[in-house]
Amino acid sequence: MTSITAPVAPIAPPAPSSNAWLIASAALRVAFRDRTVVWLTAMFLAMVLVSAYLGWSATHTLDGIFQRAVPVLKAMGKIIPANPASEVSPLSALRNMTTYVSLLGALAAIVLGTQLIGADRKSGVFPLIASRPVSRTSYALGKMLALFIAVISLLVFAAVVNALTMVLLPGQTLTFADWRSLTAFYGVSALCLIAFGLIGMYFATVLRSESMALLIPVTIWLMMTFILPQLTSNTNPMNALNPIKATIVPTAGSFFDITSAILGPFSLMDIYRSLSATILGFTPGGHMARSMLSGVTIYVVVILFVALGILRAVRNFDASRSDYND
Amino acid sequence: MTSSWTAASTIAGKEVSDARRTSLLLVMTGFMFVAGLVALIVAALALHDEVLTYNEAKAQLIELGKSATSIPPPAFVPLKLLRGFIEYTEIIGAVLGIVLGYRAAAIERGRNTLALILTRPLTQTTFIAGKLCGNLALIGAVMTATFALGAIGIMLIGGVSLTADQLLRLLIIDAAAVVYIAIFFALGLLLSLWMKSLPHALLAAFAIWLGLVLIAPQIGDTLDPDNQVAGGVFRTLGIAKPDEKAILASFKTYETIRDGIEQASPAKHFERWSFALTGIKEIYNGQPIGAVVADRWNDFAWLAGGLTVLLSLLFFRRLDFTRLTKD
Repeated sequence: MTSITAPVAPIAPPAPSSNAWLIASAALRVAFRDRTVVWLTAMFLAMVLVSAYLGWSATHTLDGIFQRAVPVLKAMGKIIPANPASEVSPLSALRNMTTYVSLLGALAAIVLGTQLIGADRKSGVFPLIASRPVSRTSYALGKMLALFIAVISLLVFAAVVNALTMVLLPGQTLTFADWRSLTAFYGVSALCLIAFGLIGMYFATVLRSESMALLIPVTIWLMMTFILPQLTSNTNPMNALNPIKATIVPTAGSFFDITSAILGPFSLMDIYRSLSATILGFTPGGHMARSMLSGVTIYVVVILFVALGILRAVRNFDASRSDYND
Repeated sequence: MTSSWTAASTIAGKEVSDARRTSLLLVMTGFMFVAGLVALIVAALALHDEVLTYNEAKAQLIELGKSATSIPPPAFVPLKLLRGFIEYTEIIGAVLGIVLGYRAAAIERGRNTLALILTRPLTQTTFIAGKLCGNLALIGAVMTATFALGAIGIMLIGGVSLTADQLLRLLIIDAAAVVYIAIFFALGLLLSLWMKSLPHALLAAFAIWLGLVLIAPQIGDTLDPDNQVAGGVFRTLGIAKPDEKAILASFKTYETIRDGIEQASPAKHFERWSFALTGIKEIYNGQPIGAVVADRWNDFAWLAGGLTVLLSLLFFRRLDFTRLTKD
């Protein structure tokens, strides 16, 4: 008796790119099931919704003050200066967005980046993934892709909300150049959030403690937001939250010239604020004013550097000791 | 009573020794010291640059044969150098409080010892009181060391010794800082003993911190009409103070809403209290401590009230230890 066995076609391993997509879509589903990520995202979107109104309301009040100041100035016999409210670009109504992106957006990105890796480490699926025909590179690329998709989706939604509020607010007329600037602003914001999200992802991979994996990126973010701007441009911590005060040219001095030259390229939040102020046209940048090209280049270099760090950390990751200590 | 006190002091002692062994406290304290020193040095350097600019301008005027009295010399008020220092206490101090509150709960939940502790002859009140006392001692020690560092920094940088009055002002600010940070400690502990997931509790506390410490003051500050133009709108327009007040009277509702948003932030109350005592807020510069405290007591009352509400929730809300495990 002869047994006939049909030839079995060997199962082809999935292409690395399809693995990365698969990992990215699964990671996104898991991340957005996490209520904290959803809360922070909701907080950010709520602030997006009110930011245009806050900017418009403040500019409207400024105009009101000017109208009431005119008779006072006339009575004093002084020359009437130009109305400061009419000198600003219509996009300056969105100036608060720079603060919300650098606070809520960056924190949401850090949490998301941490969760994208942390969820696998906590649930114990990392040893399982390591036993499957999935390369570590595909895994890392999939996680980073998930972060890019989440950040870009969030910002596209925020941009649509901002665009709608700008159209609906009275007295706001945007030109083609303004729409182009709004797109550029969101492009720069995406670079900022991706950089911080990747920093969160890196520490979630290399550290053994979950709390420290969250605390160290938050400490780096605090340093970038408050300490470096103070060292490079004498911006007090609370002034760093005010988009106008944060870009005021400080008292010139040799110390700040030196520190801004040395630490400036690392002061990511200062660079973001300076680029945003130039794009939205609310102040001409300050001590840290730099060209669009140099600012964007610094962000791209940081993103590539941290992404390479994640690839290396994931490749060297010990799957048998993947769970966090705490 | 004695046994409760002994139990609470034992828990407090263990809190201190546990916290000293973890890297969380070390990281946050180190960060606080570094930030405080940076703020102090930067403030001193900025003042130094101001003095140099003044001297250059004065020399130019004298060279031109003009009187140098037309430009006022930069004033050196030692405690004013603490502006950045106080602002870092608002931001990083609150994070320190949250981290300590989270740690105090996580250490029991992580080892699943919370259920065991509460099956012993120990009341929830004693347990919370022990945690609170231990962590208040830690917060007090960290903040006193930070303010001592600030005082030493001022004396070394400024080459002046602080008077008893200035040291007392620092001590009062230190006490307010402990109450302010204790609010965030209580918040961190409350959420970590309340929420089912520990990381969620930490992140929820951070989200509240963002709202109260950073966003509420930011909204209030950016809505301030005088902050709409670099250098101040009234100064740009050349409007004098009495006219400024008359114009602002037309925007009373706007100002009430703006101030209300700021009042929601404990950070703003701590800031107002501290800026008044240090003289950073010009109208309080040179005023005696008693007068400043009498004028700004409501800021301290807000801080104490906030802490009381959170402590009441901690003490009186029954802990459900069956759901307070690691995850």
